[in-house]
Amino acid sequence: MNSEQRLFAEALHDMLEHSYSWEKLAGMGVFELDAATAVVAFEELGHHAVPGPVVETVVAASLVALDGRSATIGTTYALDADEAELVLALDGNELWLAVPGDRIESVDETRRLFALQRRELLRSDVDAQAALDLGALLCAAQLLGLGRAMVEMAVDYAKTRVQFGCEIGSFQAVKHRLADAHLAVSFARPLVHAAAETLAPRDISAAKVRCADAAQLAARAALQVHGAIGFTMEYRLSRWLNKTTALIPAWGTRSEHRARILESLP
Amino acid sequence: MKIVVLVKQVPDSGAERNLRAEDNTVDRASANNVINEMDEYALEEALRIQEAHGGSTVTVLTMGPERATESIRKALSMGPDGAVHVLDDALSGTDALGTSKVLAAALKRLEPDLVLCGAESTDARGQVLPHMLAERLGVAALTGARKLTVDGSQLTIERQTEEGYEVVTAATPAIVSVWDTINEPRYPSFKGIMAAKKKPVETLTLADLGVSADEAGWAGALTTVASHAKRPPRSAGVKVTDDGEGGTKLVEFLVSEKFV
Repeated sequence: MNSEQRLFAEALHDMLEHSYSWEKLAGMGVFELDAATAVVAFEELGHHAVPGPVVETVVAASLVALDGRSATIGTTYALDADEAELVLALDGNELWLAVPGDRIESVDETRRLFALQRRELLRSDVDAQAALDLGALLCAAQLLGLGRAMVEMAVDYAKTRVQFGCEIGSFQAVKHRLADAHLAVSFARPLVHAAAETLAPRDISAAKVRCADAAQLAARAALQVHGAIGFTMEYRLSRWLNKTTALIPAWGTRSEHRARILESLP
Repeated sequence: MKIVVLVKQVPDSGAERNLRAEDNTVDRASANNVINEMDEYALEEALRIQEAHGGSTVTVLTMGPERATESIRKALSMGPDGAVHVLDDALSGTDALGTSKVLAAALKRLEPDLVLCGAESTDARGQVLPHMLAERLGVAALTGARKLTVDGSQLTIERQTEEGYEVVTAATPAIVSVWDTINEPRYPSFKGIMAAKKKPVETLTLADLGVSADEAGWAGALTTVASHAKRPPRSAGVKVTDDGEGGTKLVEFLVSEKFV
């Protein structure tokens, strides 16, 4: 990460901490970044569990000119298709203008998924795999940020929650659990940054798998360290937990990505 | 219109801040240093005026040590055209009066139509600098603005007071200080951050400004902090247990403190 990317991540963090809006995200240029900077930004979006079709808008922008519009895109289902200003469907190398159909429930209540009904063929020469790979890469970065946030929340909680007369963070078993989660997140990050440089399918798949694993480990550790309050929907942690659960299989499941890595091996 | 915005680097007011034991000055070395929050509002106001009035330039003016360059770059990433950094080892220990002398010399060089600054800095909270600068430069001071309107060379502000606001006007050149009620500062875009790398930052020494070293720094300071101490922790207070006389005891307390 270079110093400009770090400054941008800090500015995004600052904004998301204080007053988030879609217009501000767009104004800061989040949807028009090069891949190496985009993964830094999307880690921050994950860090704050930002809702909305953020990944989808960037993927759509790689295929059509958005002119400032928000967009969503998918193959079968698309996120926030009722709200997005442009709804697109990918089928093979065809790009369709679509409208939202039936709503599908998501474990993450901030995700509203809709079946896609195709209306008009826009192009039949799109590189669908490159578009889906971009989505997988940004989703991996989001998972990284989600994982980091959950480790931070669990560490803060472990420092204040008292049981058996002392902070639970002083117990070695709790420390180890959190250290493992922190390591998993830290070791997944270089894969995301490397994949953003090469944009090679195998690298993107590796990053997606490792970030999903790391975020899941962080989620489980955070849930356990928080004890019963962690299971409460009204508690803050639930937004991160549920988004992690929803994003782990999004843009390709772990087995699909592992299979792709296997195929690419000589 | 030529606009200069005064930007000061200060220790983050969100973290614990200290004075140094050896000379009673603000400990900046161990602090997380940021742009004085109120100055961001001044900068935002300058950028809005620039956007509304074509042909305007916005220059950031900072006086501070080497590490203030971080804050200058950050300010530049919000959109101003360039910056001037007054940097001189002899500036260490400068008080408000000395600061006004140095900044006035820099402003005379820049010849702005409008100087914008925050109403106070979060470290010193003196609120005196805009007035001192106006006096030294012989220009009007419109201070504590919650709204600024520019109509040609005519400036109108709503000066925030405890009871409401006062409408004050002046013609340029003038200095306007603003509160955080005036606008909502923008966050830098990635393009802005990249562009800031290439923007000109002029570094000036006291000699460049024609200010002698004994007029600034410790030598020129008319005020000194003699000593400092941490605020004592709050005392435990008095607990009133209501045994039927609780109300009376509360009233007695309020009377003793002259609240009623």
